[in-house]
Amino acid sequence: MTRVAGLLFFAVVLAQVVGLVAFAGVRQVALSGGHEVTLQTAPVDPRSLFQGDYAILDYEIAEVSSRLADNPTGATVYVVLAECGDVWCASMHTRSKPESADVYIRGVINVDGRLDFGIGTYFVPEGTGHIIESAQDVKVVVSLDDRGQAVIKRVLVDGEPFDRDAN
Amino acid sequence: MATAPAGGDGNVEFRRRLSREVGSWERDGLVSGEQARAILQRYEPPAEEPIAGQPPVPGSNDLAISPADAAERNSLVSRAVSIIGVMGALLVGLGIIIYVAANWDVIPVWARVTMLVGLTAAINVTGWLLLARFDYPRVGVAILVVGALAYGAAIHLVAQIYHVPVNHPNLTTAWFLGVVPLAYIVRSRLMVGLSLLLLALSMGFRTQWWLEYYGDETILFLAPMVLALSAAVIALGRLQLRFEWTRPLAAYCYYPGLAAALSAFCAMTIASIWMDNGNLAWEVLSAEYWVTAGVAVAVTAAANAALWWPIGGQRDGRPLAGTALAATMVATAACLWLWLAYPVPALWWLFNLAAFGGATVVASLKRSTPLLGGVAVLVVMLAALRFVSLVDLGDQAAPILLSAAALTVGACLFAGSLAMGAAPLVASYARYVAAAGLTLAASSLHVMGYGTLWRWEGSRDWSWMPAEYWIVMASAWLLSASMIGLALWKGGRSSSGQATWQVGAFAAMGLLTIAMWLGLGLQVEAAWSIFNLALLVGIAALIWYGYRRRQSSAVYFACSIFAVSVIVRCFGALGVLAEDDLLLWLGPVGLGIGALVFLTGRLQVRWSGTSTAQLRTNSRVWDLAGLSAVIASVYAMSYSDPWGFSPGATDGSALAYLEEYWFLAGTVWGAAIAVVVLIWVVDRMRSSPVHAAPGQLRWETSSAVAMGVLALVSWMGLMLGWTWTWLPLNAALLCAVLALVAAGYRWNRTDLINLAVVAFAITLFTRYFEFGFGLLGQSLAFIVAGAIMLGMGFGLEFLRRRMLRSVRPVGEPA
Repeated sequence: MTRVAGLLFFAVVLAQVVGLVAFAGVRQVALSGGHEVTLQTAPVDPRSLFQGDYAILDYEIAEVSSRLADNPTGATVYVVLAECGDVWCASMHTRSKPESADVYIRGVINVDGRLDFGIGTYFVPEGTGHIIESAQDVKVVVSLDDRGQAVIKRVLVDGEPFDRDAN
Repeated sequence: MATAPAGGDGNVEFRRRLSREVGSWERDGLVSGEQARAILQRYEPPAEEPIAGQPPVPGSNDLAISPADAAERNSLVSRAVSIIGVMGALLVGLGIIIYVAANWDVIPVWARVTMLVGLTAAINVTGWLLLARFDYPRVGVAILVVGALAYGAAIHLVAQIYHVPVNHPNLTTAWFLGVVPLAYIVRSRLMVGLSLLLLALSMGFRTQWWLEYYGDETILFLAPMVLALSAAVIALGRLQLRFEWTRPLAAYCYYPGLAAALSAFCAMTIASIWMDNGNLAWEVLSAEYWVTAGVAVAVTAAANAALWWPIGGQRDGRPLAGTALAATMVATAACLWLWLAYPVPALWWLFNLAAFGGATVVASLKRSTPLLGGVAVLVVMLAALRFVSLVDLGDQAAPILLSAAALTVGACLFAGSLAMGAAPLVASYARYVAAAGLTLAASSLHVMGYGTLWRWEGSRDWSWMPAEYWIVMASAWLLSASMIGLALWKGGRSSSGQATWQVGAFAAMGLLTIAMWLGLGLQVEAAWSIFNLALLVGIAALIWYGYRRRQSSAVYFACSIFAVSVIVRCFGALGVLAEDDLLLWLGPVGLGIGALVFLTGRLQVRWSGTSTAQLRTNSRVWDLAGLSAVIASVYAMSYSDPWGFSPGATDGSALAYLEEYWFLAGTVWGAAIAVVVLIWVVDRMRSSPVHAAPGQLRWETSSAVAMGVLALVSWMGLMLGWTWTWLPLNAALLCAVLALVAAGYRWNRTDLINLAVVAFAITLFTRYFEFGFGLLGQSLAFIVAGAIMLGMGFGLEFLRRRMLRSVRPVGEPA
């Protein structure tokens, strides 16, 4: 093995580590900054090949208003949110980016004609998926940045934060 | 160099290779032991080198081996180290991934991330140090494979913690991008393979992202993309041939790329995906799809352009061929994309034409009979499947009339093969046609052997068969007879004995067809026994013919027909059972067939034939076939689930045709026991068996006994309802893999080691997908087992180096 190969090898390993830390860092920043809203969902519980059990979260605000329904799959839609009771609900759907004063979330129309916000997955410890699935009411607290990008902060199961020891 | 029997430093490698070669010549009976020693001595350096048979290091008895032995054992141990190391690496790596999947929240999030990121870096550095600094290349690469898997686990851990949407394609892409440079830096073929796997995985997840809706028609979008991507991979593979550093890795891009392109092409030959395309429109594809396709086409173009320039002092051998291939693939992809805009459903037949025509043309150009034969066998198999599905017709006469037709077609093909054999141009394809014909004939006899078909309850109205049936049958027999005549007349040179065999077989087929018609007309209930007997006699005759005329393929063919027939019959006898229970009941019979094949091979080794070399290669095939059947049977029974459903409840009394099952099982196992006894008798009768090495009998007997015990245990488990029977079966599976490695090492048989690897890999991966236990326990088991295997690999490598040092001549550089 040549010296160059050695240097390259350690550069790649370093890049792997930096990339992993950066990945975690970006998500952490998005989580701690941003505007916090609570959304209503109805989850189900499958298992991933690499990451184990998770819940699929289907949001109430994922419903596309009839005015925008004829947009093609993959189109970006912004949902302006307003507080109604203890959760936030959709007050307006728009194709263009709303004014920055509003609280809004960015979604993409999927094949089922609903909106995908990139927060459809919640990973849970092994064997605890039934807790979310059998709950009466599941809400998700998400953090929104300036571009309307959402990150999941925590899940509220029947009003309480998700807890594996609950049944 | 070979002409100078001098002992320079440069000759050391040559001598090592020569001694390996000469060893194999001697084993194959090409040269005698005396001659082998003389050849080796000719190239031996005059002084200082340890002489064969003399211990080079006094006091170390296990290392007292000649350089020739050492070279052979060296390559074998290197292989064992690689294999055990890679198995261990996969176990540990998958264990880490399973650990992530368990999402164990007892350890805080930050600790988990730090631990896994640190672990990734540490594993990679360890692997590198072993590889580059301490010169343990094989173990080092194995550790780097663990590192690559740990890196992927770390990515997915972070994604899991922050709830990134499941199967997000960027995760596997990042994994691929992190592993592929390492693969090329350390030049590991295994890691290149792993990277390609990751690329395929990331493309798969990306497809889900592009098209969430999944249906058959999705293939229409995927196929052109796969074609464009594999064109790029193939072109890059060709490019790698031109650089010293990447040359050994080129094939690992080239062939997978070709395989991916071929499978995309084959998918396009299925009619249904062209017919139903109501949901397809360009609009469902995201821009990313077109960007990826564009990049793939651009990379293909660039790499092909580079093929025409001399880079690194090397020119590509045939740039035109490469560019033509790439152009064809990209053009096909472009046509498919166009088709999405302007649908023409009838295109599927064009693809079929291109696939079969292309395969035929390529096979003819390359003069590759196996390829062409493969196409022919595929077509006949499809036809046979269709035939089997027709047998389910309601009318009782239908199966018999159809079987007679199948036997007629089989005879026709057989006669055709004889005629082909007499014509020089197509003679080489004759054996495939003959095999197809005999397969048809055998399946016809097999179907006719079912007693239920001949028990008359209702009418036997066969007038529904149109007159064409009889016309076609009659003309087929006329045609066959004339072809046989032609073959006899043209092929006057061929030995007369062969002609007798062939005419005999043909006449037998004719008589059996007439027997079917007669049996139907006269309502002979016992007719089924005739056809069973005919099938058995036919198989026996084919085996006898194979031995007489030294055509091992005939023997293998006959044996496979026998095995398939027994298994299918067992299926029939156990038809009432659910799928899981069926496997459990089939297992011991499969074990018996495997044992029978294996032991028969072992028995053949003792028959001192005139051609030792051929016997040896033959015995390998028998060993491999038998042992594979044994392992597959044990594997099929080793799942815990089916045993849990109280198999005792479905025991004997509930089965309709259980007598038939026990009869078949008894026949198979009785034959196996008879062969064991025969082996013992043969070995006893000769004081020193020619072809059996000392200790061989012990291995053979103990493996036969182990197989028998396993079959007994599983039968008892089934009858007595032992729900834990899967435990000893799993243990037996692991023992079998280890025993195969040990046997391969003991008897210098790489094929046995390879079988062990394949069995291990399949078991490992299917177990990974079967989440039977808790994930944490599974993860722990994988990691511990893998660590032990990595340790074994390290130890073996250490021993190998010590052995090499001890036999290395004084003058040779370390």
